[in-house]
This record gives sequence, C-alpha cells and structure tokens, in this order.
Amino acid sequence: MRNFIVKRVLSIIPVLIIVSVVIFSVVHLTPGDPAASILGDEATAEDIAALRERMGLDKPVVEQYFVWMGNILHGDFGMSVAGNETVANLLKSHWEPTISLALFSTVIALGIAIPLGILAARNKGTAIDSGISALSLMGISFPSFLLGLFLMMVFAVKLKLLPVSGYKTLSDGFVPHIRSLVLPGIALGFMHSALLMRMTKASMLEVLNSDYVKMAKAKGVKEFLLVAKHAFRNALIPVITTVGQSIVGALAGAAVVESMFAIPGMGQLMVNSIGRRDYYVIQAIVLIIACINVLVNLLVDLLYGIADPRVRLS
Amino acid sequence: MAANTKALTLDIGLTRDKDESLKSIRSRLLKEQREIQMRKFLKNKMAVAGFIIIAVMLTLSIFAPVIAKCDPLALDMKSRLKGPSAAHWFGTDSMGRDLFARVLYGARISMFVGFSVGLTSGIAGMVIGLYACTNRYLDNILMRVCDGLKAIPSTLLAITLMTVLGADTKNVIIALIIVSTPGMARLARGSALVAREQTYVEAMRCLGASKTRILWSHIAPNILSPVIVQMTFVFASSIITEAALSFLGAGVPAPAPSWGNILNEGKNVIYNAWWMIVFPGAFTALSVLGLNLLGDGIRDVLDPLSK
Amino acid sequence: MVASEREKVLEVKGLCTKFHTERGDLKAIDGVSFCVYKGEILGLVGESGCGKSVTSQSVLRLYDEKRTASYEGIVSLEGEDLLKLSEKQMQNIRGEKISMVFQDALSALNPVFTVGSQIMEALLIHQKISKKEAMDKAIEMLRLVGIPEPEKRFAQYPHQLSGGMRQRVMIAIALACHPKLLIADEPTTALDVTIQAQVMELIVELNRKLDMGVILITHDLAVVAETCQRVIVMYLGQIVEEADVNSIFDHPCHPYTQGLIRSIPQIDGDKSERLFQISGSVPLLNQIPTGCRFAPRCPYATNRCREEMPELLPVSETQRVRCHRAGMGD
Repeated sequence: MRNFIVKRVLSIIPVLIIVSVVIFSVVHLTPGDPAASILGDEATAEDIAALRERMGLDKPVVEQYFVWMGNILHGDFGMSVAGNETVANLLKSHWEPTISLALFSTVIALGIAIPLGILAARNKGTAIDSGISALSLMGISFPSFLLGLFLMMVFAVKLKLLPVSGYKTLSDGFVPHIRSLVLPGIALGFMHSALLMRMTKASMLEVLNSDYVKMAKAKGVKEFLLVAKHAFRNALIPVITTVGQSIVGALAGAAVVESMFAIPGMGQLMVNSIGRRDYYVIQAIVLIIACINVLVNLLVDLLYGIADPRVRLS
Repeated sequence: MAANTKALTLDIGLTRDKDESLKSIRSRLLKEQREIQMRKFLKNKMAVAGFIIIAVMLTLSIFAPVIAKCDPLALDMKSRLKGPSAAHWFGTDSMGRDLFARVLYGARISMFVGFSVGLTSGIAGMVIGLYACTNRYLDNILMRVCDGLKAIPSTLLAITLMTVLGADTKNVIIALIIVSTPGMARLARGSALVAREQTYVEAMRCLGASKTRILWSHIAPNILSPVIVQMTFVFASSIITEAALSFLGAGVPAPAPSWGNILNEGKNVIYNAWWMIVFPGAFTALSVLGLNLLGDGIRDVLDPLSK
Repeated sequence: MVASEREKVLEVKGLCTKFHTERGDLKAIDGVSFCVYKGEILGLVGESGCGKSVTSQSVLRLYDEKRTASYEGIVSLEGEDLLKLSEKQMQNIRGEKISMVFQDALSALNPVFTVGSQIMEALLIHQKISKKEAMDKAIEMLRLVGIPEPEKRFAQYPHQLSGGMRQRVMIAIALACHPKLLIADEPTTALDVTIQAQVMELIVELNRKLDMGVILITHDLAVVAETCQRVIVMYLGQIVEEADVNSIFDHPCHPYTQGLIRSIPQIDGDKSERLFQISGSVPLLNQIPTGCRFAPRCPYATNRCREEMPELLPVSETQRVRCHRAGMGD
C-alpha cells in the first residue's frame, strides 16, 4: 500500500509541470502582444513598452516561465491589471463562495444520483427504470447555464420561492446561505447527477448479476443486506471516479453559474476578467483549478485503493 | 502486397473459388455487416429519434434564409419584446429583431461550430493517437502533453484561449479543437494499442506488410468506431461550450445570432420575455439531446458485444 | 443398496423453471423429478445449457422471482415444500439447510470482504452466537477444509489466496452451518487437474463425515464414476436417464448417455481411432423439438421419436430412461 501511495503521489509532479507549461504558453506564446491588448487601442508605444517591462515580457520566454513559476511557488500570482490589487488577494477574497457552491452541488448530484441509480438497477426494465433514464437524458441535455436560466425563470421570477441572485455567506445564517445556493447548486449538479446516475446504475446492475451476490443470497443473506452490504460497496468503487470528476466539473462550471447568479466567487472573478483582459487573474484561477483537478484525481485513486482491496494489496 | 494476399488466401484455404478474391470476399462481408448494423440502428428507437432531431436541425440551419423570412439582424424599434405572434412566431427581442430568424441562424452557428470541431478533432486525435503508438518516445511526449491539457477543465481552457485569441467564431472553433483533441487522441491511442496486439495484425507483420500500411489499413479502421462515437459527443459538448462562451461574452461576438448570445440577452429581460429563454434554450437542449441519443445509438450498433 | 429404505433429504417433483425474456417465456427446465438420499452423492451430468445449473439454483430459488423467473412443481426438503415458502422463510433455508458451492470461487467470493468475515456472515445469519464464537467457528471451518494457518488466512482477501484455496474457502462457507444438502455446481472446473482431485476428495470426505446429501453437478464423467452413487443425465431441460453409477456405465440405455460415455477418452484405447462425438449441437430453448428432444441428434430416431415425447420409465429397479427404444429390449 505504501508503495502504491508513494508512486501515485510522485506521478502527479510531471502532470503539474506540464499543466503549468500549457497555461503559461497559452498566455505567452499566442500571437499578439498581451501588453498591447491589455492597454487597448489608445495606448502609446511607451506605455506598452513600460508594461512589457513590468510584466517581464522583454526577457527570453524560458526565463519568463521560470520567473513566473518561482513567483507562484512563493504565492505571488502577480498584479491584477484592472484594480491595484494583487491576484493573490483577489483569490483570497473570492475562493469561499466557489468552494461552498461546488461542494453543495456535488452533494445534490450524489443525493439524486445514488438512490435513483440503485432504484433503476433494482427495477430494470420497468416504468421506474424508464422514468429514471428519461430524467438522466434530460440531465445530460441541459448544460448548467441553460438549466440555471430555466430554474431562475420558474422558481425565482415566476414562483418567487428563492432569491433570483446574490450570495449569503454562512455567517449570514445557515438557511439564507443554503437558499442562495439552491438554484445555482442544482444548475451545476444536475448534469453530473445524470452521469453519476448512469454510472451507478450500470455498475449496480453488473454487481447485482455477479456470482458473489448470488453466493451471498445462497448463504441466506436478506434482500436488503444483499444490496446494502454486498452489492453497494462493490458498485460504488467505479462511481468514486465519477464523483471526483463532478467535483472538478462543479468548480469549472462555477464560472458560468456564478456570473449568472451574481455569486462573488472565483468563477465570477474570472468572467469579469475576460472583458478586462486581466491575464494574470485568469491564469491564476485556471492554474489553481487544474491543480485541484490533479489533486482530486490523486485522492480518488487513493480512495479507490482503500475501497478495493485488490488495488490496495497488489 | 499482392504476394501477401496470395499467401494469406492459400493459408486460409479460400483458393477453391478462384474468381472470388480475398478483396471481394472482404467487401461482401463488409457490406453484409453494414446491412446488419443498419437494421440494428433502425430498431433502436432512441437512436432514430436522435438522428431525426439532428437531421431536422441541420436542415433548418442550411435552409435558414429560406425558412425565416426576416433578417436576423434587422432592427425594429417599434416592436420590441413582443411575445410570439403570427408575424413573429417566437416573438421579438429587446431590439425588435425576429427571434425565429435569430434562433434558426443560431442553429447555423451551433451546427457549424459543433460539426467542424467534431470532425477536425476526430481526425487530429486519430492521427496523433495512431502515431503515438508507433514510437515509445513520441508516445510519451504526446500523451504527457495530452494529460496536461486534459487536466485543465475544458470550459476554463476554452475561456482562457478565447480571452487571448479574442471573441470571434473562428477563434471559438480553434479553441474548442484545442480543448477536444487531447481526449480524442487518448481514446484513439488506447484503441490502437489494443488493435495492435490483435492476432491478425501480428499475422500481417509476419507477412512483411510495411509499418505505414499496417497502421493505416489495419489498425486505423479498428479505431474508427470509438472515434466516430466520440466525435458525436464532441459535437454535442462543442455546442454546449460555444453557447456557454457566447453567453459569457467570450464566444461569437454580439450582434451575431448565436444561441448563447440570445440567452444572454434573455437573461437581462428574464422578468418580461420568457420566449427569449425558452426558444433558444429548447433548441440548444434538443440538439444536445439528439446528439447524445445518436452517439449512444452508434455506439450500440458499432459495439459487436451489444445486443 | 436398496434405495427406498433410505431417508430422503430432498425430493423434487415435476419442477419447471420459466424465464421471462424479451422474446417471451422460456422453459429452461421442464418437469424434472428426482430425489437425494441422506449421505449420498448424486451426480447431475449433461452438456452446458442442459439445465443442470438451473435445476440446482431453482432448488434454492436463487432466481429473482419478481422479474426474471417463475417456478412450478414441488421441491420438498425433508417433507417441506420450498416453493410454497415465503422469501423470508426461504432465507432461513439457504445456507442453513441447503448450501451451494459455485464454479468459479474468484467471482463467487466478494472481493471487498475478508475470507473470514464471509464465513462468519453465514454463521451469524443462521445461528444465535456472538462474533467471537463465530470467529472461532470460522477458523475451525477453515481448518476442517484443510487450509493451513487458518488464523492467518482468516484475515486475508479472496484474491490473495490460490485457486484451490479459494474453492476450499467456498466449501467452508457452504458447510459452516452443517447443511442437510450441499449443491456443488462444477466445483472443480476452474481448477488445475491436481487441485481438482484434492477438492473432490475433500467433498467426498466431508460428505461422509457430516452425513449430508450432495448434488454434484459436472460434465466430467470420470469424476462421477469415482465419487457418485447415483447419476442423473439431463438433456435440454429434461432428465433423460437416471441410474446408479454401476448401471449407467455398464449398460447405459439412452442413446445420449451412451454417446456421453463413448466420448470419454480411454487411456488404453486405440490412439489412432477418433474420439466419439455426438453429432449436432444442443438446440436453443426456443427451438425445442416436439417429440423426443434428442431425436434430431439421435442415430436411432424414428418417426415416432420425432412426434411423440417419451416418458421417463423404469427399466430396472435402479434405472429409469426417457426413450421409446428402452422398453423394447434391444
């Protein structure tokens, strides 16, 4: 087990390096001068030259990368172009709503997907199964911003059950906090719940038809325990991977949903930075979420090892 | 190669019927297989439904100028935000433009973006995947780069690329190709590695077929089915991402009638113009649904193990 | 050996199992009747797809009755009809009175639980004992089935054991509650030849020690000759011949049984002679012939065979055959 962990942990280093190189190249190697495009059309040549120097764009590319990387390892993501604020400080004031929203939407996704997935598998071929399949097809056909708009229109504008937009922190009270997250959370979580549901159903079906469930039944294990004990854990192992993806998906999807529901998180910060061409902010957010992605995948693999002794002990 | 074919024919004892060369047997078998697959596809109601949805969408987008009588960009300040009526089937937007025309022309953009991204990334992914499995060093480099690109969630990578490249339809396509190709390449490489280990490829190698020939005429056809299925899904996800980018103002620039643009305007008038969200939204969801159904259907048909 | 004087553990009468499929109901077994006596090993042989496994799993009612299958007939365990029991009562029978050993231990043991906990589970379900006692008993069972260092193996996972070891574990699970009847469904097919012999020996030994009835499902007639007292030959969901082991090898009556026996390779036989094979293959369940089910493959088939289904009739005190030719004393 220790070898497995060490190997897996070490394996993320090259991926992280490549991720950083990719993100760096996207911003620095694309045609056009970032300094010129930040300053816009009216900028003078001197202004551009000055900004180029401040951004270090006059140095060789490889050197630029190492300087950039070195700074990031020290927690310095550079200065935001628009406001006079460091990117690090901007991130510090925007991370909380994003994490809250991502976790909440993952909980919603799991809460819908696992029970329905199991239900569909247990009732394969019946009307319940078809209904759940139809729901999951709906789920994968409604991208989060679209579902968000529909939800906003129905539940906030027409029925006035929930706030249209805005965000309440946990310190404003638990209920307002959750109320402000319900619509964006469902918008983000529903598509992932559809994928999770398909996964849970397929995996549950496979396990329910397995010899070891039959063996357990032949031992006299009760119907409920057959599903809850013998099938559930085995069926959940492949689902863990999808859960990891849905957490990352929620973080990435936050860009669209946050700006739609006016939630002051990293996603909204990123979208606002598009118009300002605030490269450093965008770069930093993408880098952080990509790193979270890599770490979540690592965690998923380790969890996999804990859940499945065949991985753990081989 | 002629010698090889002959050797193979002798080997499997097919020389009895001299007129029927290996090639014609193969083409007959392929034809039969295709007929079986066609029947299987037509039996799959969901897949047929998906096919019909996409066929209708494509027709609507190709004949948009014929079907929609109005210019999608023509302003009419007198009839702003009017609900659906005989003159304007889907109503009008905040600048009095005909929403029906805008949604149809939006289908044009979505279908064009989705199709070109699906096709290009499919071809690119296949080439990368195939050549990755010919050389271990090349494989390592290509796959590490793909892993790095894949580690960045696609929406975010697309947003970053669009910020750098600037909002423009052509740039949307470029960004989406960059985002979709790594997954495609990984898939193609995985299938190619499996195909390479098959006995018949081994046999071809023993018969002295050249590497390029094996790669393109024996391995490539075998990885085609998963790539085609994936192309359908990339088509769908490109429609979603294009709409999302345009919705955020980082995709197709504003006056152009993209579904994402219309939805973005719709969000601003959410209190008084439901049609601005419902119609473009329904078209987006339907296209994605159709492509998903079609993709699932093709996968079931091409997968020899499925019933 | 006079069969009728001995105590019957299991008596099956006219058992039919139907599966509900997309193409309608399929009768996988059709009117199967047999009995198992206390302390005997009954062999159940036939080609794959003949209904051996369906018969055995129907006895335990393992198929999902809500959706996939339905049963008809009588399955009586010591006079109690299992097909009339509720699912809850059935749970008390499974593992306690009747146990089952599956073909492939690797897929039949749950990969995420330790070997020990899977044995303990059977004990804890059926017996009112503490965990500690169950653990001691489980280790005792491991020792009984001949696993060295049972304390160490107890905490291991199935994939850490060898194939033969896993099969022993499965036998230990099946025998944990000392069942009246053990159903062994091709218990040695997935094993190496040397391990096969060991496992068969273990089953025979435990059969004597615990005095339980055993149904041994196999397609290996050599195993049958060595271990069984009586044999049932099945073909396409029906019993075609039933006899004690000597009769079946000395004078098999059904052409199918004769074919099976002739296709056993003889160690001192003529090597240049081709091994006998029964021509044709088992028809699909939805293409069952109207008359004798074996008629399409039978070398002696007459028009009567093709039209009229023969009954399973006794030819001697210990032998019953389903063939029109049998009564004619060929």
